[in-house]
Amino acid sequence: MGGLVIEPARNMKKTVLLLEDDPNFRDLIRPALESNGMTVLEASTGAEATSFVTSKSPDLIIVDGVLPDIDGIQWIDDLRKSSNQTPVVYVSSYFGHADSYEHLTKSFGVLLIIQKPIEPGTFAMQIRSQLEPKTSGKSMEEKKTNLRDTIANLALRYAAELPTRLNELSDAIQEAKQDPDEAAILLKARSYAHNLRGTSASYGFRQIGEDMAIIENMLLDLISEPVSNQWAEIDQALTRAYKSIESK
Amino acid sequence: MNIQKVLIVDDDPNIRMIAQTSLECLTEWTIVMATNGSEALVVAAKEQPDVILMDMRMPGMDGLTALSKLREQPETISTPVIFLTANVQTQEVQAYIKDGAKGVISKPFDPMTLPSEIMAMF
Repeated sequence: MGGLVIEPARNMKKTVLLLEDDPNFRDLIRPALESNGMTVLEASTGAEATSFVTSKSPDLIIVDGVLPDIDGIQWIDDLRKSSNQTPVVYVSSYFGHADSYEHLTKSFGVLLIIQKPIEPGTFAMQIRSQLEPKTSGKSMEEKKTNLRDTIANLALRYAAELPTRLNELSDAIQEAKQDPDEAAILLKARSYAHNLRGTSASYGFRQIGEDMAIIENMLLDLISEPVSNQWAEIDQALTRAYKSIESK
Repeated sequence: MNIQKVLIVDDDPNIRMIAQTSLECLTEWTIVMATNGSEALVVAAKEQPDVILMDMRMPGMDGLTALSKLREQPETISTPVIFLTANVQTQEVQAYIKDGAKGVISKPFDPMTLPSEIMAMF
């Protein structure tokens, strides 16, 4: 992604109210929100959050499902009954209660329902995208410029994850070498390579995508017909992928 | 066809994020998401998307199984499904379409052209 200019988030410095009683969860996502240009207000109870809504007028509220003094859905219900239409994102460890889901989105206008566990960087991008102005009224060229900027930011985050993802793949390959007749281990390594193949290339890391395709196909071949020299080609492709991220 | 809402189904949060960002930046479509086939069945029934963009390989319920179950639900019996897959070969594409998919978009996809690839199928 050489040559991409990462601009500070535009139209940002929005204020997000984080209603969450778990200090560990707040500590996990606050830095990600702040690094995406948001000011974060923290509330650990519904009462505290209600006070912030009045005094600080946040641009968006993140509401946890279970709170010490009130249920998260009830808090949103109370907010809407007070004629406050501040955008809300609901975060919960539980998913699949279809009635609650419909109630939140249709009746309370909740923008997003996000299931825990979350990955902080991805979560922050989801919140940020809710705060950005809608595309209506922009020219296609402006929309594409905005998209390029956003993808560039996402690609930078992904680049930071890549060494860890490649290490996971490398470990799985080493494990598979030790026990090449065990299809489950080969499939695990193949799964890592498959995910890296699709995602890295979509973010613009084409060389890594190509190397991951080689590794995935070789691992598939090994499952059906073990050939020892394929390990050498797998190692070469993995080495190329590591070198590719070092040069970024 | 006038697309207003798209459901993105993929277990990889990075892929969901790229697809969501692409469609939100370049279109006026509302985007909803699910992380696997089982979630997709619930979300699709409730949200009634105009199109479902779904990964083929997902843990739990894969794309083809999810497609057959979507066809069993009255709310989603005719919702167009477009598969996202890294393994696009002509025979496979024809097989997916025979199984009821609207089409196939290959991974890696280009976020700059994803909306037009979807619209080209209608």
